[in-house]
Amino acid sequence: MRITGWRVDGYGVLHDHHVHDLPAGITVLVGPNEAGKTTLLDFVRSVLFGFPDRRHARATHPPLAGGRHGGALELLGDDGRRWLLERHRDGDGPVLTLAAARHAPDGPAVVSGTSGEDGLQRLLGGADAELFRTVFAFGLAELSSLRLLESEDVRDLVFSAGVLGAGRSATRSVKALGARQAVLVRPRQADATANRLRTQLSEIERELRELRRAAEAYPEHAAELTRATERAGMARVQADACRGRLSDLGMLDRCRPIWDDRLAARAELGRLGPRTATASVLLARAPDIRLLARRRSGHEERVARRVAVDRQLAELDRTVTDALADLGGTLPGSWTVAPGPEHVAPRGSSVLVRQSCELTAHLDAAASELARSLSATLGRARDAATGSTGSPTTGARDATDALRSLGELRLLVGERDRLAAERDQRGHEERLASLAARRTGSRRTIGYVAAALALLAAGTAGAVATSHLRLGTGVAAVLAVAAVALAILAVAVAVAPPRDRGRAADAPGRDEQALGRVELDRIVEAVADHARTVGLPAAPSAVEVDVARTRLESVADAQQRVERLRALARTRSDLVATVHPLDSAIARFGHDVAELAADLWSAADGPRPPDAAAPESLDGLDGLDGLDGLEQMERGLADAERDDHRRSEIERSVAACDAELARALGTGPRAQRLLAELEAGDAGAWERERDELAARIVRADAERDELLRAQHELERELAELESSARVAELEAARNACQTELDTALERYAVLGIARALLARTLALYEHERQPAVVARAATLFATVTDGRYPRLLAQVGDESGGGRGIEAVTPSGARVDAAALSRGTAEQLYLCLRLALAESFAARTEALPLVLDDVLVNFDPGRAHAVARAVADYARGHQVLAFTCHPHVAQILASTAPGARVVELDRSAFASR
Amino acid sequence: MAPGSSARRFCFVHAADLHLDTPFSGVHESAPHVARALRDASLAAFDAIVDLALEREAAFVVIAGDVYDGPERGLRAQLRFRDGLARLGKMGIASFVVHGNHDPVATGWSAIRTWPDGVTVFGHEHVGLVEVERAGRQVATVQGISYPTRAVAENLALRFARPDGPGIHVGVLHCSVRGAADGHASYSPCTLDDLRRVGLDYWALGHVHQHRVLATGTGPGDPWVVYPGNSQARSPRASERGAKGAVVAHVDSDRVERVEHVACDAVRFVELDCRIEGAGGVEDLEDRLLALGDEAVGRADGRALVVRARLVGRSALHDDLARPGVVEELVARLRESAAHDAPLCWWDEIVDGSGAPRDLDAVRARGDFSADLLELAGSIATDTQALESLAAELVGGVPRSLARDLGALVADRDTLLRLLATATGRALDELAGDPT
Repeated sequence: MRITGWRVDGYGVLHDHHVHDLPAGITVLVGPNEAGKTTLLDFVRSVLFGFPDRRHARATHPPLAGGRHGGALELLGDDGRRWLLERHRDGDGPVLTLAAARHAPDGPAVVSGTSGEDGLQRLLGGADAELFRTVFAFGLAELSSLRLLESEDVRDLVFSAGVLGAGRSATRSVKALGARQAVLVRPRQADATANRLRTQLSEIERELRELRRAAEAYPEHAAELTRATERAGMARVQADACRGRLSDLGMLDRCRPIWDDRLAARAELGRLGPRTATASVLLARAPDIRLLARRRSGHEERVARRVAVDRQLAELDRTVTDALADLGGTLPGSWTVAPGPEHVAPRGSSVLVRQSCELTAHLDAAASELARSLSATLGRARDAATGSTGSPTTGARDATDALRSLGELRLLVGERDRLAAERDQRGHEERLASLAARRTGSRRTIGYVAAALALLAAGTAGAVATSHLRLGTGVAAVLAVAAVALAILAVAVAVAPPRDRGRAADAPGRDEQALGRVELDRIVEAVADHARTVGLPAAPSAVEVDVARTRLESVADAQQRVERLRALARTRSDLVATVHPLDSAIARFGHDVAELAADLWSAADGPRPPDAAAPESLDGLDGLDGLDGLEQMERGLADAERDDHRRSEIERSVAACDAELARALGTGPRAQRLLAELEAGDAGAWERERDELAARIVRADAERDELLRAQHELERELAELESSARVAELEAARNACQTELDTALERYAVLGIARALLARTLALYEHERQPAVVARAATLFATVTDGRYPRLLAQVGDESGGGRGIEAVTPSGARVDAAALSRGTAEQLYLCLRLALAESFAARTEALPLVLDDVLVNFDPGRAHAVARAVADYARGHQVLAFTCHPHVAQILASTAPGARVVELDRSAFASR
Repeated sequence: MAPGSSARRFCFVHAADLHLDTPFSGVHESAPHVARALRDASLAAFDAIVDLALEREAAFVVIAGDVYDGPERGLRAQLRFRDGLARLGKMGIASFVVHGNHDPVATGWSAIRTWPDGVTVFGHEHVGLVEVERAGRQVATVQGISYPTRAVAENLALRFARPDGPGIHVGVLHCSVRGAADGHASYSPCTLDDLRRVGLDYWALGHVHQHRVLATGTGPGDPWVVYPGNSQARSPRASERGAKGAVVAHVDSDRVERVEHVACDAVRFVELDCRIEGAGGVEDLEDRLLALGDEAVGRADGRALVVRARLVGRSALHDDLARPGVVEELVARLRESAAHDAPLCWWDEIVDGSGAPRDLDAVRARGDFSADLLELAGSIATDTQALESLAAELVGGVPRSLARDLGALVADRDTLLRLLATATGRALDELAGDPT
């Protein structure tokens, strides 16, 4: 490849600068300083390999005269194809365009193009910027630097080890392989693939070992789990036992009041003692006692009534006695009359009955006597009128009738007497006669009544005197006097002439008189009727009537008093009649009480033990009314019932306590034990035990919790072990990792072996073969130095670069290190080496243009010409662009290379062309 | 079935090399669901064997060693094994177990204190013997012996003897029958003649992971000698490919009439070769691989597949494949394509065994650096010392933590030669200027 021209759009001082048709041999570009020679050299480098960036120390040559920074090179390939390589700093890279034909009228015709580096690399034979700068395009500064020749690429070139077609150098391949190896394996670098995998593998294996150890401990873990479970169970049992005991103690505390109540109840029950036999008997006979008790009120009422009867009887007796005394009689001798109510003594019913009988008989006798007397009197009179006799009762009624009749008679007599008086006034003879007749009848009646009364009185007196009744003598006397008076009166009335008879007989009749007479007659007749009824004459006088009436009233009064006595007697009899049932009931009650008492005695305990005290409740039951005994029985029963009731209450209380305890404690051995503890009850001990239990529970719970945690942990571990696929996962991961590691190491080994092959081959070259480049350089250098240094030796040095270098060998064999040569000679040596390198590069890959920037200025004329000849020789097969500001150098080059083109540069020409 | 026919005609299940809960080896890191499937595969396979025995109403089950993969005996594996045998025992199916070189009696540990009913684990001190009855008739006598330690050099088969008794006589042994156990460590080595001389009817063997019927019994003195193979493949190695499971031995009138291998595996490994010639690009290659994967899934009877593909052939596509990350990206895309497929098809790895279209003879003829490199690689490959030196150089260049892994990798001469060949191509690629 060679450069046939360029177009500088803008680069440093260059602007719109064109050069075309550069020849294949030497082209000398000569110009003064600042004409742009070095700038042009950098332009060529920049277009071929890119613009230097800020990391490079080299100038970037920004356009000073305008234009786009960059330009183009016209290139001619070895195959004859022309290319236009354009590159601008603001572009995307090189633009390589294939020109259709040379010298086209309208410039290079683009027939195809590529923007990639590949085409350019092929044109450049794989040379990079560094190689180009070092070997093909250099100035005096580069030339004098040995370091540049020690670069790996150059070294490869030197030892012919770097190229094969368009390939890279062996050293670079070694480095590239090394770099790739370093990705896989690096000492002390954990991020390299194999290092990382090894670490990962080690971690997996470590975890696997741990897991396997853990897995192998499975049986022991299982056994430990069993032990932990058992111990936890024991701890739980212990804690539960403590809790149970604590619960028992709590239960004991709760039951303690119940138990105390029960104890108190039991104590009271003890104090009450068992039911006695007496109490049992009393309770057994409680219905009877209660029945008696219920009967007691009736009994008491009957007793009260009995007392009242006695009092009434006493009072009655006193009344009877007084009445009898008034009548002049006395009570039978058997009577005893209490002087007052407070002195009433109870009398038996039989006595009372007997007394009543006696009294009744006594009064009946008296009454009969009176009645007989009256009846006798009245009866005669009535018998005289009616022809019949009456009973004593009838007599009394008769007395009453007689008194009524006397009263009527008295009225009639008065009327008669008035009528008689009127007749007397009007002719009272007739009326008087009528009246006298009527008065005679009345008088006769009255006389009869009086006689009857007298007889009655006399009879009564006589009867009293002879009867059993001991009527007082006063009564008898009265009766006798009355009888006598009545008899007298009766006689007197009966025998006395009627006073009104004459007036009636004397009454004249005229009409009124006749009417008066009729009336008077009727009245006289009525008087006569009435007088006859009362035993008086038919025409009694008023006095007679009044006397008879008085007398009859006395008899009636006596009769009435007797009747009242009889009534009293009946009343007394009635009272006495009530005494017997009362006494019977009272006696029956007493009997029942006594009988019950006797039954109680016999049922209590049979024969009373001699030393046993008599049950108080059984004492005194044999009284009349037995009330004391009954009360004692009732009290005994009440006491027994109360005791029984209390006993029952207590027993119920005890039962309730027992039930409550049973509810609280339940049944079974535990309940029995707790009951025993309650019985033994030591609350203080319970409290102490509770504290101790609480502490033990805490300890047991803690132990159990710890064991449970251990148990759960073991269970978890075991479950994990049993179900975990972690080991398998890790083993798979380990194997996969091992495979990855093996793969990485295999790759590493392949790279390493490849690298070793390259390095060993390179070493073989360096040690065993004389590099052709060095030989060619030696030939050139020998020519340039005119045989002063006929040979060169390349020092391979070690892989690190140490000991490398070029030595010049004198004809005598002395070896002079390049650094020891004079500057000019050393520059000549390096120039020869570069020419040889360029030839070698061209021979193996691509001929590249050689661009020299005033490299001959330090040579003496002889060696300058010699070097110029070497360059001219090189230029026969390669393009050489020689920049110089020295005309003599240009002349030397031009003179040694026939056909060399000289291009003169001036400062103004660049900007304008 | 006629009365008594169950005593004359029955079957038993013969399994071995369960390697329960064995992690798969040689498989790269995988997605979680794949990892789970792989992790549980050996247990699922054992469950399938139990199911098989239950389904076939087997008279008994024999397991000829290597129940577990190592002395560590994963707890999960032990419990799963116990539970499986318990399932059999509940159905009246006896099971007979011997331990092999992977789970010898003297090493390892046991989480199982009490075996379920019907389980006989033969000890290692002498050959144990158990009679099996079926329908009130003795139908079989099973004898077996376990390994006391991993390395048993004794020919344990010689300890067996046929006792008197009706029914078939089954010997359960973990051993290496000469000629049948290539590639397997030779534990309890014996010959077919050794086995024949014992006079049993059926040798239920274990140790060889491929199903082999070494002898089809014809009568007394000519027993069936059967390796059922392992129940579940454990790695992508060639010996672990194909159907894995157990053998069902069919017995009629005290003779094993035939054996039937029943696949019980849950996951299978397949390795596919994919040629890169003619592929226009990586996308074409991906399509080819997917098609190959589909074919493999179709052959797997619905089982999950772990696929390893090897790219072979020479093509310019090799340069693309050699770029860092290209193959990994291809694997990721294949996994993504098959992520939701059922059954599972997991692309584990793609091994780039392809090459650039390079004429090595031409390179050698150039006489340049590459030719010298080729010559150097050739000389190393034929020089054991140089190989060892190369291996030592490699191992010496890595941190101590990785030295053992790398040393193990390059200790194998074949592996090292393979690596050398690959590295030579890689070096030439590098020199060819491929900017990889």
